[in-house]
Amino acid sequence: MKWLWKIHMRYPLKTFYTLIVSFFEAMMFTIPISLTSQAVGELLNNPNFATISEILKKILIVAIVQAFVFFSVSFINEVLAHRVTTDITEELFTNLQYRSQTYHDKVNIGQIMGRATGDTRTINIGLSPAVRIIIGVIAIWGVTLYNAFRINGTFGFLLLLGFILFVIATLKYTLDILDLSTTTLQEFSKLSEISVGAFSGIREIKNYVAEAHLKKKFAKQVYNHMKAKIEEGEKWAVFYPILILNIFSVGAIAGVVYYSSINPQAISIHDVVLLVGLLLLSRATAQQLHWTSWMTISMIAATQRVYEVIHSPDPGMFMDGNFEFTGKPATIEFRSVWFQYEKDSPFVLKDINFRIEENQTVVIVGTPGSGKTTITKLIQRLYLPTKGEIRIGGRKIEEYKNESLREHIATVEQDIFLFNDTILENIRFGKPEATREEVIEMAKLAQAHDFIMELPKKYDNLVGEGGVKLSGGQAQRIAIARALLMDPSILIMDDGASALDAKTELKIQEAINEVLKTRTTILTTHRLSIIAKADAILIFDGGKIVGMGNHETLIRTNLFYRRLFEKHYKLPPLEVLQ
Amino acid sequence: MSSKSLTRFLWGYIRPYKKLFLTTVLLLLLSIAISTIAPIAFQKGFSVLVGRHLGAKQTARIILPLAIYFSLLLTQWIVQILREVVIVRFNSQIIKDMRNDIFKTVIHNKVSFFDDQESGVLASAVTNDIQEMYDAGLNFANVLTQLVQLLMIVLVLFTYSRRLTLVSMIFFPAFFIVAFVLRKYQKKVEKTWRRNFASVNQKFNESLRAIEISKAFGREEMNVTTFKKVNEATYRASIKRAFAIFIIGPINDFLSHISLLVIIFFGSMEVIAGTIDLSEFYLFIFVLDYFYEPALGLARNYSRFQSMFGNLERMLTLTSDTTYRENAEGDKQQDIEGEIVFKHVNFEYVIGEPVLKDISFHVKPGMKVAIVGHTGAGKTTLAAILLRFYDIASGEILIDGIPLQEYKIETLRKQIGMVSQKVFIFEGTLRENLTIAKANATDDEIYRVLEAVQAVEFINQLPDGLDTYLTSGGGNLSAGQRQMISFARALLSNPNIIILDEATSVVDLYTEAKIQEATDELLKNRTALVIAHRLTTIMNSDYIIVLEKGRIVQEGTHQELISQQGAYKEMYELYFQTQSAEYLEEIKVKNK
Repeated sequence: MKWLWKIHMRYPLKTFYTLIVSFFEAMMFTIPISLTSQAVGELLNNPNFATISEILKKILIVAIVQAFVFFSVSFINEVLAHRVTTDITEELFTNLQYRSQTYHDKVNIGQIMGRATGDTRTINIGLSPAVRIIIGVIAIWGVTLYNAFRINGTFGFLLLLGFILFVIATLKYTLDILDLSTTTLQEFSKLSEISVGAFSGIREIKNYVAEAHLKKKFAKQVYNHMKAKIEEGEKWAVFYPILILNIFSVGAIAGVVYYSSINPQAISIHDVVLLVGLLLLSRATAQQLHWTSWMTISMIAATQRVYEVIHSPDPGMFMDGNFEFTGKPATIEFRSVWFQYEKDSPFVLKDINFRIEENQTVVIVGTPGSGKTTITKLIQRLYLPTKGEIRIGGRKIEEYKNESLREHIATVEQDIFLFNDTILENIRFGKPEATREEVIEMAKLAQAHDFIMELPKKYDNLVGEGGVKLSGGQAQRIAIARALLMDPSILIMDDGASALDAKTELKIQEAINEVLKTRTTILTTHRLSIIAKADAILIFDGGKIVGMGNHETLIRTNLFYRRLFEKHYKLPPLEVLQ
Repeated sequence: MSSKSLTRFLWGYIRPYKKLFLTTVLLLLLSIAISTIAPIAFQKGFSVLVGRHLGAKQTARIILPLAIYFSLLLTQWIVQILREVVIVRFNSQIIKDMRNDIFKTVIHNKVSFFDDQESGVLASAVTNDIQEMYDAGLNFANVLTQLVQLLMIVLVLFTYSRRLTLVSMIFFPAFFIVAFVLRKYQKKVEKTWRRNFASVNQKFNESLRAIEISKAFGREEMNVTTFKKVNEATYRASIKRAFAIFIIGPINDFLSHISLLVIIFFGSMEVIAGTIDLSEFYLFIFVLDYFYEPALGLARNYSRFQSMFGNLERMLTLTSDTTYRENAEGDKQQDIEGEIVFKHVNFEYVIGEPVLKDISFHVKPGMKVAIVGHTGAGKTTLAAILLRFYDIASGEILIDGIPLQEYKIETLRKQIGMVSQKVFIFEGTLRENLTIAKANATDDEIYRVLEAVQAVEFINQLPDGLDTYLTSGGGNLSAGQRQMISFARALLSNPNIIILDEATSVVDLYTEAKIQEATDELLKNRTALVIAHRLTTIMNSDYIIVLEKGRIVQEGTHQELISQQGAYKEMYELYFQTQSAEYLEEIKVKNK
């Protein structure tokens, strides 16, 4: 809450205007009521049109002023609320952008999106109009109670009692219903999950004829959601606090009319009309507490949730270094590196030692899950090693400035992510200032130019959600062009050619051969043609290096390496080195 | 869409809950009646009071109307609560049925239907859109009640003073003119706002999904800048939208004050003239709320109601449009032995752009056939039409001599297993991801297949084994591991025909060989179509079909094809140039 207030204080003028004017604006509502009661009083005692028209003039003025004040305060309040929630969304976004990869690995995107959209909306509605209406209710009740006390003390006291009981009951009620609505929301998000899964995995479902299974699963969840919704809705319908308030206020209306009739001297018609009018208004506004108190408490909960995300600890966070990585010398060294993704999870890398010289091409091979991709991620400094050290250009990786590392290390990742944007923008993702010519040049190197030119809008063609409009091989070529455009000193290709046919791959290799000569390259691949050409090969098994060297040596001496190929090639005889 | 079919459609949903519906209507009528009578009771009491103040001595007569007024309102609150409870139940049941129906319809639609839709949008149709209808339905009932109530009150007021009733209604045309003028603006800003709001969501979502690549390319700052732009644009759109919404309240207030003014003006004239008494005059002021509540409710909810009807219409279209329904004419349910015959098959995704041209071949049961060709040659399409994901344009496909479309779709698909290059992982446990292929599979069965595909080792290393929760897309598994799961799924469903579409492209040669050993055994009595780049896989098949740009350019055994000049030989040689150990030395030397 303090945090929310701090954000408000960036806009003090608007905040105070809203808070103060909301109060008086609500009070203005009571003026026409008192003017009406005057008119009724006048009509009773001394029917004369001149005094009535005096009152009418006043009503007109109040109507104009009130409309203006009402609009200004409600609109400024709304502007302020949007300003604050926009700021919160931005803060959340920025905060998440700079969090570590370790944090992001664990984060549930659906949940975060809930914070970013649902919760900010809740905060918005809570700030405007819920809070303003609550202020208004207090103001109107203040005026009503004041008048009730003025006319008759007991009366005022009973009303006050009713109001207090009402507020307490409302608070309790709201807290109860909040639990129910949280459950409903959870059931709802499960429903979304099932349907998104079903529709995006439709081919698998149809292939396995699992429609019936999913229908059942969905129907079950629909039923659960309905049950929760009914429970919440019924609770919502039975807003018993208003019953308390109604009994008190309508009782007061009947009471004041009756009291005045048996004792006309004590309460005049004028006061009766005034009180009845005020009570009707108070009752109507109090009814709004039904949802405003709910919105306000939801807002507090939502604020807390967003605050928690922004201020939650990030176990993988590390300080950025000061050194500029110039790209030279592009050597990579691992010294007794151990790594685990999470604190209590098993080590995926165990005591890794190797050194890659500048401009070398090194291939990492191994079975699935042996740690190949992890190595590439560590070189990109998406994570820091748990134990041991990684040195780039002879210096510890954590001493470098993030930006300088990014500038000189580029990657073609295993699961290619393309943005739903044009091909052009996707290729120049890492270098937004690149010209169209540069992009085309790189696309040619990556053998992507020809197929791009066959697309209806060529380089300005959209690639679709996650790149769906491209085949696996095409997406991979775009990713290769994207990495090459960075002109990196260290190039990482994590299975970067798996979806390409042999012919295309050969072409790319021929094309980038020259380019690779002047940079350090790390590849994970299963293609023998690439492996054999590498300066060195690292063999991984179960998170350990079980062999290192070039193809000729390894194929003769290393059992793991031979195992990779024995089913496919005739191997030279095994030699045992002394 | 005619309103008649829309009503019929809605009635179809209401019918099962006729009792609830009738109760709702009854309670609504009851509450309207009470709301109409209560002010009159108050007026009667008030008239006694006025008389008393003017000197009359009838104190006793005041208790009855006041007691009636009080007890009517008490009943009213109880009725109101009952009414809302009933509506909640009624509404929830209908919503439940609608959800299930839409889901049922959509999931049975053709694959081509899904090709053109974003899954998020579709999912939102069964979740958010329907939720909106729930809320709108509640409000609709409320506003409708208020309108009827207003009508009743107007009728009652007419019996007191026609002139005063008419002038107090002056507010209505004025309000609706303003609302009408505003509506156009509202619609415009609402649309811009929605678009902006959606793009903030989309950017936020995408940035989270792409966080790793963003970090790898050092794009964080850039992302923040672009996000700020959309975020601020949404802020500006929100303000415009807020203006359109928040102008209504003050206008409404102003107009209701003006009607108060008008009532007092004309009312006091009538009181002075003696045509109505003071209590009757006060009744008009007393019920002023009845006037602007429905107006305000309509103005506030108008767009909601509109979108409710829009959603209903869309739903009706979605559930009644059979163009996308999967063709279910076939009813043959027999077991398949595995003979596949293609006769002059032509196929196109988009009319005029053929993808497969005049494809004919014959696969005997138990044969292993390799389909080779460059990316985009039509290999994956071939598999998709065999599964009847798409219907062919012309020609004929026969399985065991029976045309494809004569089989019941379920029977057909159950007996054809497929392992594809893009593995889909559902959000849920690993077990759930496997049992999608066979709902009642025991753990023993599951482990047997996992053993066969070499996946047991890594699954045992997962924190919760088979109960490990997989994120959507399977981000917590490596690419190779995901492919093993896809393999396991296919084997679990125990099909007679199996299609392997680049099934082992991301696992290393050693693992591939191991999987192959196991699957060779499993493929033994099944017909297999294998789409592959790796020559080793291709060479082991009984028959090879070479596709190029949608046409079969060569077919035969490896021995036959290698002895012909053509695409296959070319591919074979290229492969050996780049992949075989014999040529490596040469490359090595060339590079140095």
